[in-house]
Amino acid sequence: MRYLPLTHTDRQAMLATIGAASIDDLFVDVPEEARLSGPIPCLPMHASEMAVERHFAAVERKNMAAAHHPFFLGAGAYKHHVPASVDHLIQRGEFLTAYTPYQPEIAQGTLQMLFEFQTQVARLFGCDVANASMYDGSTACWEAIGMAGRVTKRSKAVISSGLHPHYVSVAKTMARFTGDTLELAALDMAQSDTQRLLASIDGETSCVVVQYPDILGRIEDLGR
Amino acid sequence: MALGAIKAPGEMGADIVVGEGQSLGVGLQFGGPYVGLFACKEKFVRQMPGRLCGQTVDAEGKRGFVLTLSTREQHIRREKATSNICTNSGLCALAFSIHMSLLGERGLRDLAALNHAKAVQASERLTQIPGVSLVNDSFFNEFTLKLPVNARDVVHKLAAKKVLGGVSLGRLYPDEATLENGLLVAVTEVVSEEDIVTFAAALQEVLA
Repeated sequence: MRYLPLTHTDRQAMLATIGAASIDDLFVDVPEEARLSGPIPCLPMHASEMAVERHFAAVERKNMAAAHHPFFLGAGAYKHHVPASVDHLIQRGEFLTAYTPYQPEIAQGTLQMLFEFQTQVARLFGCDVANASMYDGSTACWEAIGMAGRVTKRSKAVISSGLHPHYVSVAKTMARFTGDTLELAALDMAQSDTQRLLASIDGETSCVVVQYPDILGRIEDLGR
Repeated sequence: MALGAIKAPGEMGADIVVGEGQSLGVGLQFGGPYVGLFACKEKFVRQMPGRLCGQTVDAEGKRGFVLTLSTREQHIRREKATSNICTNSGLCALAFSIHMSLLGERGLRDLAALNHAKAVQASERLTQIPGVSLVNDSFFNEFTLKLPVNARDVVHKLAAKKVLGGVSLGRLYPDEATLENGLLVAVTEVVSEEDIVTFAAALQEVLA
């Protein structure tokens, strides 16, 4: 981060230029009750860099870092070993600073990487084609529901109760704006709801969304 | 990573397959950025969101690559766009791709088998504790335990014993009373035998 110091005179000059009397004038559009009336409680106005570092190091030690303790958390994000070569290679300037490869004349390396990525994903998933990635699993899941709607011209998605609740939450948020209907059911530890899914399919159904393995880790052969 | 051990969804007839790729090459990194995977049958390729990179030949017949079906909002009308991916996503995809290349098909299968073996080991050890039972008929590297008490409290008590012992279903489903004794436990290759022993001992103490 860059350090950009301002003097009182600098501030006054800038405020005078734009015709504001004080910094607070810049925030008049924010409702009064949402504004802080004074300094943040318990936070000193000034501290030395060393004091700040010492303070935050102490705060940081209150965390339980994944790497320091027996760790059994998953539910959609997993702690795996990442070989040192991965970080080394992605931090090479050719990759790290590359912008979206609009220009094939100067972006063959990045483009070939995306092409190889697509091949790997398609093979892993047992599909014909894969795209050059999405933001994450939850947004990819919503995009699939949207795509099914475009393909079928229908708008009812039947959602398995085994789909990660955060993925359901993303889909619900998006469906508020697209008008898609999501048919949901409560999760049952005793059994999956594959039979409900099959029974729910009708002329309005654009897709059936199933997580595999599901949120509880259960694996079901869906080809049956 | 599960797909190194179990049948691919495409082979089961799925039209569209999506997933989270964080397990390969991308660390936990405070919850993101991660990498979304998206694949489908070829007949739907024109409806597929995001960017697609294609292989072609240049004027001299040499192999080259170019973005082909690219429905980015910068390129076409915003309401028609099906892509809103950002530049940094490419870096996470690269990390996935490099890890996958380092593993190869054989390496991925071996790593998946190792994950499963560790998870089996942990599930066998943990279900020896009185009152703890396994919910799953099948699993890869993550399974659900049914505890005799509210799992959310147990997670906090385990944390006090310096063990991060899973995600309670009560945290994921705060309104579902029938799930509150469920504990989701993930076991990957980074978990040591000692970790499993420590976890089991702590859980036994907490439930005693």
